[in-house]
Amino acid sequence: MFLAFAISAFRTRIAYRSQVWALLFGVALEIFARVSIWTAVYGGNSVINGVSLWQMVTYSVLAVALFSDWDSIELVRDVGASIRSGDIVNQLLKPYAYPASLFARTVGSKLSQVLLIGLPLIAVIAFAFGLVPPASLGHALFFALLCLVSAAMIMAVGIVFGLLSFWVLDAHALEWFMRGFVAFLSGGFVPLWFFPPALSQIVALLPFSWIAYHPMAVYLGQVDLAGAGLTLLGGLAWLAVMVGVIGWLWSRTTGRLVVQGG
Amino acid sequence: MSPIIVADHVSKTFQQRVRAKGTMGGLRSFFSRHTVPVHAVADISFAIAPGEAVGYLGPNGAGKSTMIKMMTGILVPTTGQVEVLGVSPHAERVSNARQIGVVFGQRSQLWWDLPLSESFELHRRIYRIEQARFDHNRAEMLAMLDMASFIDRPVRQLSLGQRMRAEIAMALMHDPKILFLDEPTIGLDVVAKDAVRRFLAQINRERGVTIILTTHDLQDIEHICPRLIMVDDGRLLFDGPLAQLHAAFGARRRLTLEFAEDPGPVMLSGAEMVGASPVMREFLLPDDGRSLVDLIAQLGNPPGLRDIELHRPDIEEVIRTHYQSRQAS
Amino acid sequence: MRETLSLMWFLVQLRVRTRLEYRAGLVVAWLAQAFGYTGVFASIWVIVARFEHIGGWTWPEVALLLGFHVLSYAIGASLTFVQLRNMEDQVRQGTFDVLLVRPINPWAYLCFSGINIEYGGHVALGLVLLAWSLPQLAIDWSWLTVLQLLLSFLSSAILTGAIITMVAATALILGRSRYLFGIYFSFWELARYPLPIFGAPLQALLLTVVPLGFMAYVPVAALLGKPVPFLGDYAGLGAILAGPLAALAAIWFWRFCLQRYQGAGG
Repeated sequence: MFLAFAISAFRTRIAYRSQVWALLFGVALEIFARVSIWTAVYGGNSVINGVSLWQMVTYSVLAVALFSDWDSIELVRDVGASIRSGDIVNQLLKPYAYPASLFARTVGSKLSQVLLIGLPLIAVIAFAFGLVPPASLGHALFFALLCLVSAAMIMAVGIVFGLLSFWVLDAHALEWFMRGFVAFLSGGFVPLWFFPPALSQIVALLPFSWIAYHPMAVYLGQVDLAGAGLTLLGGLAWLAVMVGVIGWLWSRTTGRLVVQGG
Repeated sequence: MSPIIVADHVSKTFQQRVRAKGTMGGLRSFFSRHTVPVHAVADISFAIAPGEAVGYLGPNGAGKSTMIKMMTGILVPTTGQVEVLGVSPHAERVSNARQIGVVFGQRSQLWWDLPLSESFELHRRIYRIEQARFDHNRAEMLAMLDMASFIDRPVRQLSLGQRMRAEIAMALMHDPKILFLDEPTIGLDVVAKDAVRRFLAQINRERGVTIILTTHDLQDIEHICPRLIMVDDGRLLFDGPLAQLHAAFGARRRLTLEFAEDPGPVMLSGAEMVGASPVMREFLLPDDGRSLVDLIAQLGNPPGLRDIELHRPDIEEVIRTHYQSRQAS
Repeated sequence: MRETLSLMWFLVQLRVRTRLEYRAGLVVAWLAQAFGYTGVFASIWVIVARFEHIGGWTWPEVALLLGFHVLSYAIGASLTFVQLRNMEDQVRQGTFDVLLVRPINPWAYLCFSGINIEYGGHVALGLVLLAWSLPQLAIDWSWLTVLQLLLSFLSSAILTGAIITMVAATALILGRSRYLFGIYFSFWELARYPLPIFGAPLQALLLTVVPLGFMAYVPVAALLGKPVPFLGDYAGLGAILAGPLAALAAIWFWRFCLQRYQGAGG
């Protein structure tokens, strides 16, 4: 069942070639913009805060290519639409849990994005310009695992905000609130080591920072292997919390749906 | 009297993109693209006189909507000419629009969240109808279509039947010379359909509003349109009074004979035997003017004849048979 | 003409009345969108706070750029974006055809009847940024500079409306406009930053084919006396003319696409 959802989402994504080309273009342009910004900001300096320009370029390329927040936005919109249309009531009748099916579909579309757009772009840029490799094999392994955590986190955030649209505010407003949080707290644009120190410590503990910052910090060796291990555990802990929240929200939602008679 | 609508060898061809199916097909389409020409309307000609009510009939994909779009100025013919009220509806889109009313069955022109009366007021401003004429027409329409009870309700609270009545009333508010309707009774319940049909027939006969009506529902045509244009695959199949439809399609009558016991071979000239069981014989015969009395006489006197039934196919059957034979070929 | 204008005004009234029926959500929508932008702007603030400037622009200058960008976009988009962004759906479902059978200008009807008042958050955020940054900047204020600011702002809003119109018009001939909108918004993000940080080719692109450089950078740089690539001293004039010229192009292009639509069919 999970596989079926994922595959169908994958198929939908590749069905329109102009869509893929347009997305590719958009992502490439975003990478280009980030690189320009960091180049300008670094000026002549080669290292700031212990991080070189090339490391920042690598940070930007990987963050944009792999950790985009598009999936969470789509999730919130999907849930919002399903609530508006009343379709969510049908979800109660199905054998699998609604959040799980949402997750499955997002996995399919995220995978298509990464495979068709993210990885090819990374490969092209690495080949043409060169990218900084992971700090060590151990770091690379932790990075790979944290990528999975990141994907799960972005989906969890999307599902939570989506389900909230049944209770408070509407999906459109929640989507914007979520984007505000993610834009600032995920570290996808600006790594936490550039943040004012007090702020950076707080943000590093929030779940959003596992979307982009922590995977990249591990990749670049900003933490040692022990630290990377802790980071992974922290991420998993937050995921567990999110899953719990989702489960609780969904059970409350179904309860309310049943009472209202759909 | 010169015709109010003229279609002169009108054709309309579209280029349709073809997309392959499946995952592999999807990837294949990534690297290739081709289009096929679709002849939505192929060399159709007709002329409609002022005050006529014409039904435009055909299966899905027959080119009905395309023809309506050309007559209302949305599309331009690929070849040939369409003239409405003496001008090309496309070239004179705005001035033509003032003289016609258009009702799309599945696309509403009403404002969803506001009271119906606001949509009417909007219509008045769009068509620049003077207040006195508008008030008079509005009152008349409200009475004829029995809308006073819901004129102040938000459109989203109205039933489909109420909305359709409102759309038709609105389309007539500016006294158009021609009323185009694209599937106006689709989705309506029996009572609503009846109200709409009677109303349309009335404004056609009493006020001389020319009506062009596309539909799947033959009863719409039977109640409203004395003339029927039938299309299929973009081509004109039939244009004439409804009454002549049977003859045009060579529709055949069905004669069913019931016997007390097996009568042996039964012959009837000019008829084809299509069914037989020990106590029943069935024939198909053309619409050749022979009455039941004539047929009984021509049968001779087959022993044990108990019951006779002569069935004349209604329009639905005629057309269905035609479609089926088309699909078979 | 007078009747057309009064019709448009009536449409605006109808639309605003409809939208205010669901009043409660409106202010929340404003706040939410402002919050979303604030998240992005906060990230940019972090960079400028840490590095003191981006491409030679200090924080008040960057704030002015960001405020100008979001405010002029909001004004231009309120008249065009939501109304036209689903053009490909309107074409496919035939709802656009409904407009063609009435004696109205379809673009005007679509845009005015759908006028979007949900940009309150954008407007508030933009005004706050402008109000905060302008007093801090060394601008030689005179009637001329005030006029320049207002005209180039108006021009930028018109530019936004014109570009959105042109992107939507492609749906009339291609059947699709969604991807083009995606590309528009990719460039739109670049328009937030000082142009010189991008290489010369991209700068040229953003001043010609995709004239989003005129959305914020050129007018603000002209006001601040910052260097503008290719335009130099004509930056101020360029900022004021960009919008009207784009509008002319948009009118022509929309008509062209509409003619093709009626010839080729949706």
